[in-house]
Amino acid sequence: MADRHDDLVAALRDLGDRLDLGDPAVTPGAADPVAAALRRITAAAPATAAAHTTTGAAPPLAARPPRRPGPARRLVTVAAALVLVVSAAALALPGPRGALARALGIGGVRVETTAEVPAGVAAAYDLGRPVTLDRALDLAPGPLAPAAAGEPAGAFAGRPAGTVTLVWPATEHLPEIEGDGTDGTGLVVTAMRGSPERPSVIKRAGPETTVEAVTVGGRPGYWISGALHEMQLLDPAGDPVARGVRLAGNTLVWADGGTTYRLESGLDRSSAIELAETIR
Amino acid sequence: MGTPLDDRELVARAKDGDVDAYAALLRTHGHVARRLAAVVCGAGDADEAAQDAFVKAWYALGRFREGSAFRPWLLRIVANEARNRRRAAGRRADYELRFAADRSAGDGVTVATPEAALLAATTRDTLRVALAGLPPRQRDVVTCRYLAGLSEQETAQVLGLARGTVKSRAARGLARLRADLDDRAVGPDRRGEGDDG
Repeated sequence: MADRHDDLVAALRDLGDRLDLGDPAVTPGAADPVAAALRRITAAAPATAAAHTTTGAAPPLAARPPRRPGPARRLVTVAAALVLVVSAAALALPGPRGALARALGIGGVRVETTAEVPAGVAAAYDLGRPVTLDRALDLAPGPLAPAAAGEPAGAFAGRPAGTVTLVWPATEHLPEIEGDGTDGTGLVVTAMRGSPERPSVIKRAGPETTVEAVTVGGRPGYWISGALHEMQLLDPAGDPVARGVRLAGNTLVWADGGTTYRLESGLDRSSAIELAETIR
Repeated sequence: MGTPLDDRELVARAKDGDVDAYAALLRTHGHVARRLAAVVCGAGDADEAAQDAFVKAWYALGRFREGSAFRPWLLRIVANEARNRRRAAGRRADYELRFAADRSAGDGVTVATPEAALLAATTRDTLRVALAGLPPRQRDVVTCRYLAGLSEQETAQVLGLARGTVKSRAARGLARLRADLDDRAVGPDRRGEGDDG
């Protein structure tokens, strides 16, 4: 019990109070991360953004990259939203093949990634807790890692139980997922347990986002591409398969043997499908 | 400290691109965020981790769920960034914390006598070594809770753990620290009570 350790806790709190955070007033030359971050943010924005910080002028909407709209603009988006409920029984259209085999070296050299987990990915994609790759493969409802993508850089387990995600950084052959707020994420593959034979997708997006019925290894799925969008998978009862409507890049969704897969990447449709088909 | 209501208003403005509003949020929560970075990845990378996390949080504001608390959301991004850096440093870097009191008089902490000061410094030093020896999972919880000063609930949110896991890891971590300190015969003398881990 913690109360038996009151003195130890007090000693730890005292230690915390003495942490040297590099206060420039105490440590000459120390950088203030708050000031440095704000400089980076305003430097990345147009001149109007910098002006805003000193003059209180109108908020610089252009100060950030594409992202999910803020509250005011989201209302507009929702008002104009195209809400689709697409059945997997819809026509399945096989995509063209070939590009990925060259890009990722299927049958030849395997892409090896040794990079670290892209910074910010767990928060940006709300992936749950980090776990070891072995643990992730134990928890996953089915095979999860596309062989052609090589070793993932990180693994995460989330709720509901059985939702497992692997993450790869962007590489020469895995273009970065743009505008997701992370530092160089190239591929995010999620497997969700208990999902339907035929997943349904609700997509809320403007007309610049498209949903196409596709097949992945002979299984029904969807290719969702275009502008950043919100997405929610539903089970046959119409209940959400995974929590939260969330931002997604180019996304391939398909079901296989009671597991729903979601593959997000910066790849085009045919490359994403070919990559997905190396999950086994 | 800003009230939750202040935070909500500032977040709403920041989401619309108001850098001043975001600066105000960082001024409120930046200190605890820096503490958190320092205890998670050690002193060497803490400022860079915090700085990168602050920038990423700005760009991720569009995904901040309205009505939720800003502080744990920000701290989670900071903790993730700090853990990524710790992972990247791998085995080539030891976990190291730096304390202002090592180089100068402590931050407003008064010590009665030189002997007491020496004893306190020795205890701190031993505690620091013992902390570095904790398994990282226990150390994350212990340092988030007691050095960074997060609540149990915040620690759970920031580390992505169940609250019960935070409680059990904190208990095991404290017990292990106690045993380590007892072995070194320095520090709070509660020998024999620390084996419930």
